[in-house]
Amino acid sequence: MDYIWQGVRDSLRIITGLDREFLSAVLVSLKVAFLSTALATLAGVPFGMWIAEKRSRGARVIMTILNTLMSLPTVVVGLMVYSFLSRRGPLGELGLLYTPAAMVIGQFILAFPIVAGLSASAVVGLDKRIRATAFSLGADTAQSFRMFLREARYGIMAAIMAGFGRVFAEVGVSMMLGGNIRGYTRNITTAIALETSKGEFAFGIALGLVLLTVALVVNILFSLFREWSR
Amino acid sequence: MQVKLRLLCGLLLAIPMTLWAGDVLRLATTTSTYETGLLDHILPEFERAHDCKVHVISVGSGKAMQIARNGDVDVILVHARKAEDAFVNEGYGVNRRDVMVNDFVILGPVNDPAGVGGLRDAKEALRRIHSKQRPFVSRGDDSGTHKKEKQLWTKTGLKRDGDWYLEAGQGMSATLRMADEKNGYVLVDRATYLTHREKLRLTLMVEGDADLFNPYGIIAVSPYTFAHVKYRRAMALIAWITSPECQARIRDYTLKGRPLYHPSAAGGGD
Amino acid sequence: MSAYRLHNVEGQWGGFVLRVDDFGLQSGRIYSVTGPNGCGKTSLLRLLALLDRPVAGRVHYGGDVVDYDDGAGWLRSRRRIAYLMQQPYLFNMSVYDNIAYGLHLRHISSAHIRRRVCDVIERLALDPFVRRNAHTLSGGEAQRVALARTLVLDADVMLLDEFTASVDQQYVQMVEEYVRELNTECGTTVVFTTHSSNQAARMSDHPITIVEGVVTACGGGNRR
Repeated sequence: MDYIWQGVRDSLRIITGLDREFLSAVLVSLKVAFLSTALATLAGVPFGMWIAEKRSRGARVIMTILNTLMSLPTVVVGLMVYSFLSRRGPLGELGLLYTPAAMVIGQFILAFPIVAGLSASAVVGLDKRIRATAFSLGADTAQSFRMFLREARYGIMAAIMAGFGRVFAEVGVSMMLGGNIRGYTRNITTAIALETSKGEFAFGIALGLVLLTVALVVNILFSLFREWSR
Repeated sequence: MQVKLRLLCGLLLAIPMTLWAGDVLRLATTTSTYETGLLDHILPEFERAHDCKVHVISVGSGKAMQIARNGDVDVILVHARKAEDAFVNEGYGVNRRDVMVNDFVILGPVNDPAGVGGLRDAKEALRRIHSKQRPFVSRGDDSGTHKKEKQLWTKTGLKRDGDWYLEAGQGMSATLRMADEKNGYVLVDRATYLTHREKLRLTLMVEGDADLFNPYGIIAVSPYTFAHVKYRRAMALIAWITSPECQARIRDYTLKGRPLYHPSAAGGGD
Repeated sequence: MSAYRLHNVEGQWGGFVLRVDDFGLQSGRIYSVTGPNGCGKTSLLRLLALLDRPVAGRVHYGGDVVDYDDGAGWLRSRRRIAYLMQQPYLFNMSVYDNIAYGLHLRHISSAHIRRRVCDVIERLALDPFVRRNAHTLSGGEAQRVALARTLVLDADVMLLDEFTASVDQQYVQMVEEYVRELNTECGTTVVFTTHSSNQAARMSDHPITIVEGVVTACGGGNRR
């Protein structure tokens, strides 16, 4: 038990001392996860809404695929994207492997099915009269759509948060596509993996605490948003 | 609302810009050279002199060469002599240079249930571990250390099957930790051992066999096979690492007073 | 003055067709639409609300032909009309914000909005739950809020589809009175559908009937 307490104490020292490597890993994590979640939101929310409107067989098949992809192991995505981005792969020309951009691509693929799938469920659950009601009160197409989005806001926010949660906590894609390069592609999770393998638990615990804190902050922001937009 | 939106867009645009790294050289290397801190000791000076970042991708020697075979790095620093020669002969690498040497050692639990403590003969040690069926933790990742271990086993002619033989599939440090938790035997390069010595319960069992010699080499990825690699930069790094100044730095790199590597580039070191 | 004039208009909703040969509505009057279920009462109101585009014929509104291809002009005309759907949906926000929504769409100043919303809240006795989320209301309360949301618009024409169907009995008179008052004091044209012939007679001298998909206005010299 002492061993763990020692780790926690040392980790607090690392956090309060704003260790450079520590800060860099946190920043990379935030940067890459925010960007990939933002992209997944831009693509996934409209896609999810579109698919939710469709009643066809094809749409149901796509929903099933999305639901399957939600639990896709991160290393499988890593491997897939790796084979595309490697110089030997079809997109090798771009030289993206082992860059944060590669991590963003991999994380985008992780987040997209979650954001799209959960947005679709959120929209399916909404009342069918929302847009018609907005029209009846004098809204134009864009305004009625905005009202529709507003009505779907909790579900869509939850979808975005779930997507962010997945990419922020994943390690497979970041490790395989980023290469865990210090100060460049090393993020919180790959740093934890490395430091734990080296037996540097304090560093790992410090990063774990940050991971927890960010998750907490995001959740608090979400409930504030719920409160504020009632 | 408009202001918020514009702020958000600005933020989203600003993030990708910080993802760009400028001029970089990619070095794939074994986990050991990275985790012992050697590269942190010798690379910053090169980065300053050439105004370029070196991105270190720390994996096993086997994986490092595989990445290089795909053209995804510019230069490799590895320890797997035979595989290195094959790498060069197949046309993937050029200008291999010796960098440094150290040696492998075998660690084991203090009570030494296989009775290998003090042996010089690594093959004999493996035979005893095998006959007592004591836990032996292998890297299992096709790294330089794993290749060396497989060579040793091949020389003994023994089969490694059974619950006692554990393949970690991880880097050197992680494998050491696993051996430590399992009270098993493990083959490790001396530098990594010294780096972790204080945190381990395992102790040194076998050292000094000529078979445990561990040479490191640096190889530029061939610009003939991959036109996009930064060959000149890679050669500049090779020149730096084999230069007398850097060789001296390698020699002087110590951990708690103990040297970890002996420089071996022709003209450098001792 | 003519509020509407429909000429050879045909509307189509799925397989259902509604035909209006020649039909005019005078502004400032109250019209009631009666007829059996599914005869096209709601379809007629949707045509009058300019929400659905007819497949044939011309609709004159306020003296001008409605040009459905001119998006901005169509929207402008639409915003002069207030339409209460038969089963309106209340947005997932406060009662106050629900009522103010249509006014916001019309870019009315917020001071003005506040005054008008407070006014209608008082008239329809909505004070007790004005700050509550609309989704927590009972059916009768929700119907009154939806009605308030339509009446607050102060439009030239009010189209009310079964506007008292689920209003609690003790409020029916209050609601009817308010509608009649808007008609007499502001000159608002009112068209409402109802199942109750009593209500039709009580509220209106100008009945419209729909027989087998054909709309006819009768009585009181509506036909010009």
